Amino acid sequence: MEINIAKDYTKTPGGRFAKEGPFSGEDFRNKILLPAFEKAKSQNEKLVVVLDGGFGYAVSFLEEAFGGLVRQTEDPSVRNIEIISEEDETFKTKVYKYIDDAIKEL
Amino acid sequence: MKKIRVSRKPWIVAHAKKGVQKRVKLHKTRRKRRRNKEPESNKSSSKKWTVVAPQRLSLTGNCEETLEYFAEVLETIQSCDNGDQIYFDFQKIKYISSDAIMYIIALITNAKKINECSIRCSGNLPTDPKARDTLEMSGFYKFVQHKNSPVSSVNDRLQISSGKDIDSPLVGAICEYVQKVSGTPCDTNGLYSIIIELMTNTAQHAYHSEDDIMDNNWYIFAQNSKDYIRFVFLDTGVGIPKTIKKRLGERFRGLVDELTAYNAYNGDASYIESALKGEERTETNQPYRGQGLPEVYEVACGERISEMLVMSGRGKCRIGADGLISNYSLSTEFVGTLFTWKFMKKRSD
Repeated sequence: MEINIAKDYTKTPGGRFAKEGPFSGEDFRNKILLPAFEKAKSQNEKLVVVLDGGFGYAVSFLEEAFGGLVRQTEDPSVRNIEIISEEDETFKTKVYKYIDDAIKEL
Repeated sequence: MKKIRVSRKPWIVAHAKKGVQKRVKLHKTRRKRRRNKEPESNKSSSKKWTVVAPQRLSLTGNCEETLEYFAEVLETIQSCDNGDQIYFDFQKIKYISSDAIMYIIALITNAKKINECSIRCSGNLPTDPKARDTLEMSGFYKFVQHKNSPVSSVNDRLQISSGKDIDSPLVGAICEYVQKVSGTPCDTNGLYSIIIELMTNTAQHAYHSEDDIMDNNWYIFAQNSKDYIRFVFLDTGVGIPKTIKKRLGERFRGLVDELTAYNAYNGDASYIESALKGEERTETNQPYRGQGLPEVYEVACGERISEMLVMSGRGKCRIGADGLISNYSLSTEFVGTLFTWKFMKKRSD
């Protein structure tokens, strides 16, 4: 199961919280990421998230989306999500760091 | 009762009427005299305040004198009463930079008192033709009249935009503009990330309460040059030094500074540096927060961004090409936070 953020959500991701503006990490997580994660888990499928194709990402967006997913589900299997970011490898590194840090806080 | 002779009766009545008429006439005359004695100023209570700008108005090029001027503008705004006017005398200006233009706009449009007290702002143009051209080309007058201007710029050189929230579609449009004027394809991921983080900081931290004297807007501006595009981002909030978490010793030293009105140990600049380096300065106290300014710093040390300057409170930090942060103390407080940087059209080696 694949999510391509630029195609399925927006090419202009915003900040952390929905109250601060459109296309926030919180909004993305609630509308797209969480339902896909739960569906993939129930069907025993791997979830792939593609970060390429947009204008870029603020770290606040990525942390709230992925780190926030760990805090919301309290499920360490969020770590199994495959992140693809060929345009900028640092996004992939950062997402896994946020997931790992959030799992440590569980 | 005394008998009134008939012949005198009409005279008495006439005399009585005449007396009334005389009294009315006297009252009118006295009222006219009173009106004529009133001085001109009492007829209308509004006052006109004039603030004269220095010859070089630039936060980056003539910092201290420019800060003193802006402090005077703020003080004037706070001193105004209902219906007063503020006249911005720009005649003497020979050089004005983009950051100064932005800050004047921010002061005029953000100061709550200007709207609450219906204070009228007006001004003149610089006599110097270059300075006049810079002001006009920046869209300054258009912005002050209409409170916004589209991202597609005047003469493809200068742009001013403002907002309250995180406007990611605007940032996307800015990146498209950068791609267009750069000529060759360039990586704007870092630029995108910086601007979103700065908008986030303004939205989350810059304005704390309804008692703040400033409205909670950010402003962004881009000026295209041959080899680079200069960006200015600012807000008029409480500033980074006041919003970051302080350690115990710093709180004590900060109190001493506040009481003595003297930034003795370069505290504000040190706080800015510490926030940029990610030394656990988030006021939220949550371990996963406070990533924004470190991200800005990381991108500023990269190949595309050059000469980043941060000014907030009484501190100023310059980020060098090698990532080294130089700190400076300001003798006059800068109200708000300013970031300015160059986006290089070609990667710097």
